Amino acid sequence: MALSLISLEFLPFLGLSVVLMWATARRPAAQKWLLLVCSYLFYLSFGVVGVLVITLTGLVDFSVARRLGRSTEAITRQQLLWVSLTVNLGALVFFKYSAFLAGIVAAALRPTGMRIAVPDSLPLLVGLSYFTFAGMSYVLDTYYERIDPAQSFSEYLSYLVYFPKIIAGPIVRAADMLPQLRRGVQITAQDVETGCAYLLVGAVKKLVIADQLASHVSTILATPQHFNAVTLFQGMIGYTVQIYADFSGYSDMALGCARLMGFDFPQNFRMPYSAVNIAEFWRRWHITLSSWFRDYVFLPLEMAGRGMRNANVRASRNIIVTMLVCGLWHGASWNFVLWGGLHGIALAVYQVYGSSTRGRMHGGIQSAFHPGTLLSRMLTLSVVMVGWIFFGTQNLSIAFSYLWRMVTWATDGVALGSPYILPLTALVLVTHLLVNKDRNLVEELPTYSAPARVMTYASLLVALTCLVPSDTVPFAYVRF
Amino acid sequence: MISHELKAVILSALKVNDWELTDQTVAGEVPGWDSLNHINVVLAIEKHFGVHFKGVEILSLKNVGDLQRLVDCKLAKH
Repeated sequence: MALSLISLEFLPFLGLSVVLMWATARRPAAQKWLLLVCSYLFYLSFGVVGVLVITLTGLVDFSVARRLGRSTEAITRQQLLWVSLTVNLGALVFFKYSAFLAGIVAAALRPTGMRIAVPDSLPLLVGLSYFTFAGMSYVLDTYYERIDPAQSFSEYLSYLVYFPKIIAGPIVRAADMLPQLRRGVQITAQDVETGCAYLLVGAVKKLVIADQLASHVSTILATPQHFNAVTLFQGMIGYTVQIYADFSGYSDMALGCARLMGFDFPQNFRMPYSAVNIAEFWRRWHITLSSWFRDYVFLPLEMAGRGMRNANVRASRNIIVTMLVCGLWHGASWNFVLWGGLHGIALAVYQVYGSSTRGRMHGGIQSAFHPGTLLSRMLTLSVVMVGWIFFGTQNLSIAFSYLWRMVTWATDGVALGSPYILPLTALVLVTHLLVNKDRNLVEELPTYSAPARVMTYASLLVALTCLVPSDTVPFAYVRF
Repeated sequence: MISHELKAVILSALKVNDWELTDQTVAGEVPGWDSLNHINVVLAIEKHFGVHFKGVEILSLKNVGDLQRLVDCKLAKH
């Protein structure tokens, strides 16, 4: 049975891992093997195939990086890099995109009368999208000489397979984790408190907010033709809150698990719905993925195309290509591609026309309640919410039907009320409005007074005890 | 140590009046120096100093200090 960060079975596993890490403080060799065993046991609960694939791709990446560390000849280095990229992308294409690509080929050949069999999609290989990207970033960073290669295969694997991050990220760079592994971690009281705080906050976001909305929102998203425009707007807003709470909740729990074991992971979400423009949104949403695409897709495209005379055309093209690929990363579906394309166009428009506002936004601190700021936030959030319709619906036909019924203010159809959408939306948006978007309240918690901390933890526990719905759903981003 | 000349070129490309740049400064710490503006900064430096960077050289940079050393290296070769 697959372990999940929100399953009760996971708690003793996590607890034992933490105790063993604490008992081996500052003994990096012992900690490395401990993490390796725990992580493999965790990932084995999802099936043997994943374990085999991650071990094989990990072996290729480790070997390539080691040779890159010794090679100085440019052509050899490029060839080595392509070996790793081919293996990782090949695994991704085979397990995730083969049916999708076969469908495209079949559709293209249909007018010619040729028919090819389109295979069924292969069963989801949980974590594939995340660990292949982690592996590629490791090899690319070695190629660009930003990091030294891992000292041993066991060291590299204990980074790659590390269980808090393997199934849905964050996509932690080797540069962030390998030094911590090498010097060994020593779990402090603050690590335990902050780790538990992240776990509690993440669990509340996931179980109390996201799962409370899930069944209602999924019904609306699946069959928009049955509902009137008011309900469709509620569904769009509800999904906006659900996807944020679900994924940022997962990320918080992953950070919490890692912190309990003494590891410091990068933030994956920083109040994304407080963004005043789409570029800022992407600096705050799924940060480890957006920075991956920035560093390994967008910037290389920019460098390769810098001879282009028209800078706006160059940048716009590269932004849109990057975001289309980013969309495709999320799933083998035209919905995700279009979602990525929508964000790419929005980013390109911002790049071309929004640059005049950059100095004002960055050069001075505007109040969150400044009318200009509020308007910017609303506009940005509107673009994001429309994008979520493509993200959350099953296919393009449903997505366009959804949008059309909203735009034309369809009054036929059922009004499906939910007591949760508006209050939970208000909770999330008011938090984004009132809390300084560059603060991290979870990290700050241990600095508060004892009564304040007790109240906070008690409130979170009460919420978890009393407000979790009976039917919880798996984490949304595990399916990517 | 970041030269006044390099600092002036970077800040001019970013349309920022003044900002402290040290060896350890990373792009994200400087207002406006995001990925969308990164290539504009690179192009401005190439044009001002009359040098040309390879893609892999730019992508290997970790901070402004690395950039200063790369510029110095290119100028020394001229």
